[in-house]
Amino acid sequence: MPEAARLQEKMRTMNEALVLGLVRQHELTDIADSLNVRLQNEVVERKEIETALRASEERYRTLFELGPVAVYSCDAPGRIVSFNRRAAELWGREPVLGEQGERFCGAVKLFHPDGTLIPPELCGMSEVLSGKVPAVHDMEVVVERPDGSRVVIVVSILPLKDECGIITGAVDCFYDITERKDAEERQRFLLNELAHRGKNLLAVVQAVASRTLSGTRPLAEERDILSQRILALAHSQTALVIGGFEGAAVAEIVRLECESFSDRVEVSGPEVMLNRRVAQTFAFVVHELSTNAAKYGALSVPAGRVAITWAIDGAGASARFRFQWRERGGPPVVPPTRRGFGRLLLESAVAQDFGGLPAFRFEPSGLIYEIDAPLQRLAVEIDGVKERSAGGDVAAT
Amino acid sequence: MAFEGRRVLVVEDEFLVALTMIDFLEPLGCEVVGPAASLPVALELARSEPLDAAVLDMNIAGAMIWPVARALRRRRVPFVFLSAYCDLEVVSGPFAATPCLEKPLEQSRLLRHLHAIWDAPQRSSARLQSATPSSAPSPRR
Repeated sequence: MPEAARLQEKMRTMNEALVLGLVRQHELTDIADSLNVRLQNEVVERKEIETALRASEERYRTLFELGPVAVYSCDAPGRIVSFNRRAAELWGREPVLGEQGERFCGAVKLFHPDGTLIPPELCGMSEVLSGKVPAVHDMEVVVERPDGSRVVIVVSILPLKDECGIITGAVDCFYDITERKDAEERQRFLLNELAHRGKNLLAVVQAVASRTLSGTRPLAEERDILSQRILALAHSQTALVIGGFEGAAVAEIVRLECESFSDRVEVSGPEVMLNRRVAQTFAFVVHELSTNAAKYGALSVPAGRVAITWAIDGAGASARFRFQWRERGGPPVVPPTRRGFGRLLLESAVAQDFGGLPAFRFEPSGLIYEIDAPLQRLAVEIDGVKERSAGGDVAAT
Repeated sequence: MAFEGRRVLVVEDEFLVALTMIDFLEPLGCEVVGPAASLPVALELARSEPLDAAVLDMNIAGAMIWPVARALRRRRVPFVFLSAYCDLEVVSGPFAATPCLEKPLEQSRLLRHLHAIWDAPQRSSARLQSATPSSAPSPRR
């Protein structure tokens, strides 16, 4: 019996174990199943994450390439890891990436705005990577391209750090402000030019005033003459404004000076533009001639007339500007004995600025005044403003 | 007269401004050499004429006056600039220490400079010619 009982007992425990084992197996299968499900879920999840990551990466890549801002990044030792199209455009070249590549920047040369060279090891990227500066914000730098052209850029650099705060690289964003700088420069230059022209004009007024108020005539008369001469100067400025500051038309100056007796003058001539200096002198010439005519000449009597004509003779470098003021119908002509400031303007100023000695002919019929000068010398300078700044040659200013 | 017989070269391309210079200098007793209205004429006068001083417009018919200034410096003729461009950086380099008078002409200022040049020749000429290349600031940019 004990044998049978023992066996039975054994059978029972084995059965129990078997049951337990079956239960265990079940459990394990369950676990395995759930693990499988989780694994599958995870795979799906990871795939989703990967897809999302790729999409995000794609988005940033597009942004990186498409954005108007130039971007590049470096690793900790300063090797260029990536750069976008705009960066390459502004550098004027594509740097070699990685181990064999250049360090810190894709530009051939960098300069401070004042023109001093920035050595690569002292550039913003290098200083951020070394931790010498925490970041760079809106720093102006001049980039020289391989073809020698220069662009002004504004640079911002931020370091990249790992979880321990160690700098692992840096990203550099920059954009082109060359056009803005040029516009600012141009504006500054134009304002300077305006101030200088104003001062030059005042110097002329000073000369006219001191010569006119010489005390040889009653003050009231001199004051009137001065006022008229300043008006003539103003007329030359008006004609220049009409000519877009590039030059003044002969016809415009004549029209402005002869407005008050336009019914008694015949005016004819082709379009000729005079440069600033000559326009001013020419306005004085027409003014002095008409003043004299009104006082002593053809315009002092009702029947008197003035013919103002000009022409261009010849072409090219030898072309000449011929101007004539012819009075008729006036009182008998008496050559003046006094050689005042007016005469000085009509003779010496014209001789100097037009480059040709004018002729006075005191004919019985009336005064004839003629200028015969090389056209090239009177013509409008081609953007004299720009050339003056460069200290270059400006034709006959 | 204060400056009887002093010969002053005037370089000025604006006829009326040159006239102002003559009107100012001649009553002082000065003899005006020129006025020269172009660079070649100015250069010729600066090299050949006996001169005691010079007043130079900086921009002469579109060209800068520097060759004339160099010629005068070689001959140790003191000079001042008269220009509407004094504030520009063009007055840098070897002539940075040369006085530059603004246009329009301030007569009393020019008179002071002429006194400085002629009344104390040693000191004034040293002052006016102190801009030797070594002491001149290096050109910027």
